[in-house]
Amino acid sequence: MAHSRRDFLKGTIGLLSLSIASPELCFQSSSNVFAAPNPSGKVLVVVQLDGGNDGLNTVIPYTDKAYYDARPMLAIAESSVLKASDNLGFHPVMSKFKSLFDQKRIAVIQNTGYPNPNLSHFQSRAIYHRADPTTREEVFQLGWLGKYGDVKLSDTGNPLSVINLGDGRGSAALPKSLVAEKLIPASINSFPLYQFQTDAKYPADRNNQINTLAKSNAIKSDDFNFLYVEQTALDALDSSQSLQAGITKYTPTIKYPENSLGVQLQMAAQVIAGDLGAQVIHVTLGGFDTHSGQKSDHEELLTAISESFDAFYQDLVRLGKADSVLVMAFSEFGRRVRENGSAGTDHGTSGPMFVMGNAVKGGFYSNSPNLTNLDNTGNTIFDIDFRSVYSTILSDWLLTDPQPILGGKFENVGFINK
Amino acid sequence: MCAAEWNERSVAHMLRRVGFGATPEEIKFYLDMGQARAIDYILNYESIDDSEVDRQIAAANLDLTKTSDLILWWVLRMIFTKRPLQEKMVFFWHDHFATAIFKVKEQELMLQQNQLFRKFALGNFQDFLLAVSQDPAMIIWLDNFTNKKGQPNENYARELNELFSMGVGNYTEMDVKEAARAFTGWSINRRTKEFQFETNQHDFGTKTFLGETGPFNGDDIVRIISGKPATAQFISKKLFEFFAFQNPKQSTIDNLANIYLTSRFSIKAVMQAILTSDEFFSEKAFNSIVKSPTEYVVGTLKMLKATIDTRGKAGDILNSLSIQGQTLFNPPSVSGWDGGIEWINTSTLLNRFNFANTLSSNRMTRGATIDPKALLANSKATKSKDVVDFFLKQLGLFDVDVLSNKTLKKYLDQNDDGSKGKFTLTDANIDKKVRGLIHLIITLPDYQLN
Repeated sequence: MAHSRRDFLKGTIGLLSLSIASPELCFQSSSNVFAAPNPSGKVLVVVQLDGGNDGLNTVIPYTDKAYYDARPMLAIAESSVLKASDNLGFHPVMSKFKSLFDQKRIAVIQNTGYPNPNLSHFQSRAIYHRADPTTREEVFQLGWLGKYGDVKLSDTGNPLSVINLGDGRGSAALPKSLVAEKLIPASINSFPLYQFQTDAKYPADRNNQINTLAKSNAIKSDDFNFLYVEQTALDALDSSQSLQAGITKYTPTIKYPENSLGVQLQMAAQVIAGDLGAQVIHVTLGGFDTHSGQKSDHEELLTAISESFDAFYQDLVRLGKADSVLVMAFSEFGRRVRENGSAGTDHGTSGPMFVMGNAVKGGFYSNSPNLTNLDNTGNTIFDIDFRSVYSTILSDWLLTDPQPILGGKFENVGFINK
Repeated sequence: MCAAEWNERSVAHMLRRVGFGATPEEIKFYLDMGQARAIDYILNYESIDDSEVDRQIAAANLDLTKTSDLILWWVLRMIFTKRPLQEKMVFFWHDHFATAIFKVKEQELMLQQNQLFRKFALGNFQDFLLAVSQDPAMIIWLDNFTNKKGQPNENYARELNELFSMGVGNYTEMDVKEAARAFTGWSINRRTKEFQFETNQHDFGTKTFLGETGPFNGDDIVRIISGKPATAQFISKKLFEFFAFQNPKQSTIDNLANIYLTSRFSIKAVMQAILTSDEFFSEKAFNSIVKSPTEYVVGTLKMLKATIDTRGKAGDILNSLSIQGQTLFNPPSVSGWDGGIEWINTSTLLNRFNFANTLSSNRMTRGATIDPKALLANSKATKSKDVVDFFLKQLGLFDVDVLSNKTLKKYLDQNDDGSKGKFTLTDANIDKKVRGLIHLIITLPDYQLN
């Protein structure tokens, strides 16, 4: 039984007052919330590399003297770089990633950024999440994927159309990119824990409990927090029931690496295999803020990316879903060109983004950073706006007009086969 | 803005904000004191006997070199303290100067920092910032031990400006670089793990910071920052929004910022102004904040007078806090927890509900347990309506919608098949329906708010 009563919020629009910039909730009514079909059949998996990935040690300009001059301790020796073009190559731990790149399954968009870069993790992360370089982190605002959900997915009434995954450790805090006004994304940290439990001693009373919960979360109110909690509770009930029913379709055979990203991408595969109608899936790998002792930490992270992407791709092929999934990876900024005194790197500006899938035209896009022409903080000057990457995905993969979502027109980078 | 009357409802509101909720007995204790005396009592807590906390902690026989025991140590303090504001301030500062054990890796240093927060809870902000700048856990957390002359590491200097004092927009990237130079050599002794100023690693050169120039050391940076109007605004707003409500009028913050500056950076003076304001007791403040997981869990245990099995190290409580989104001593980043409505998503909310179910249905001796029969012994309630009202009040809820109230009453009266029956107060019904009722009250949307 579906409990979502999105229509009960009608008539309260405009009264909500978390702040001036709060989204106004106006949920759509729905008659059936279970596993509504994904309208386009396409899935976007967004991978957040949290903390600021050192792009220069991920995609290495191995012919650039300025790179070696700036990084006496941290530079990757030319001899060990996995060369992918005449002047660029991948970190030596990324052999599986390189192999996917060689098969034209991965596009690398070099030197992405935005004007007047902000070196704060929190501000820059919010900028990427909201596709808005003027946003202030502390204000509650819509995210770019949330806006997409509002336009394209809220009508399905499926509480699993937008999903945020966690790795089972900690909790799955919702990224700001998923904040929407017409739907509440499902945030799932662990499949076994994602269900509403009642007293095991009295199973016959369970339905009464569930019905009471649903009713007491359908009270009218003009308070934003109250309504948000209510709708989240109803969606949690519904989405947990369909999730538990759907994930049984997946049988694990591909071995994923035992790291946070591997766990989350396998969960993503399980959701995709279940045909639960998910169209946007967000996962996060943290730990990229490598201010000191960067070498081993960054190696571990790049290994996680390389091996997890490979396992996920192989799994999608096995499941017959490789044509319908696109993966995009981003980080809130790159890192300082010159290494610091702690064998690490401080906050930087522009960096590479990655896109993977059968629909991708592989290769390198846009110009690599000029390491001899830096800004006054010693950071690279971006070549292409990150919103161009979003725009390309929205128009050529999700088949949506990017302009209302991104608030402007951005060039098509051309990394998707149309 | 009009203040609400001084009654059970407003006292419950006050104690949710300055503490972690309160039992009906505690509410009566403060209510009888009268408003002015009660606020004075809350603010001037040093003289309150807090030995009950020490007894509870001693009985728990904790090993504070273990992170789980360290968290339990603090949770027990929150539950059993008679100085609610002291622990609430420590909780506030832990989020403000957010430091995490995943990087610091030394429980002892995390404990030391937590005690520092307790010492300066309502203290002088300049002294506090200086102490934080010399706090070993902080020095490890933001890499200042690697910040050396000629090879500055900006991590601490940046967050000091951005997150701990003034906020973005009030300094330049050059100010960050110059502040980093001033903090070179602020390190820790490898053996004793104490703060140590390393003269030969310090950059004694001239720096220009926020328009002032001199051979600044870290304490000069702290002094300059502490007196800035931007700091006064930032700290005042953050305190007001944590204790009262979001998005106050600019004049409210200006007034608090002025008190901060004229009192020479007294946190207590700012807090006194907040707690004695009409705004704090206004309808706009009531139920306007989303409970954090810690407030949710600690408040529930406290209000239901739960027995906490510390032999089992309360693993159920600690794990639940974590999957609800808040592992104490382990904030996700230096900006702390986003909090507010971002505490709520489908997963964290289910984890709250399931914490409630685990607590209300636990009939073992292990883990946290409640005794609904003992709670009801203080009451004359026997009919379903009265039992609902009794437990709503026990959990500090005075504003629940009449429809929710009826729905809960209906649940008590309901047979298994959903048909209408009649609740009677028998041991069997207490074990089944009253436990179920408690679970459902803790899942109300009203109960997710403070």
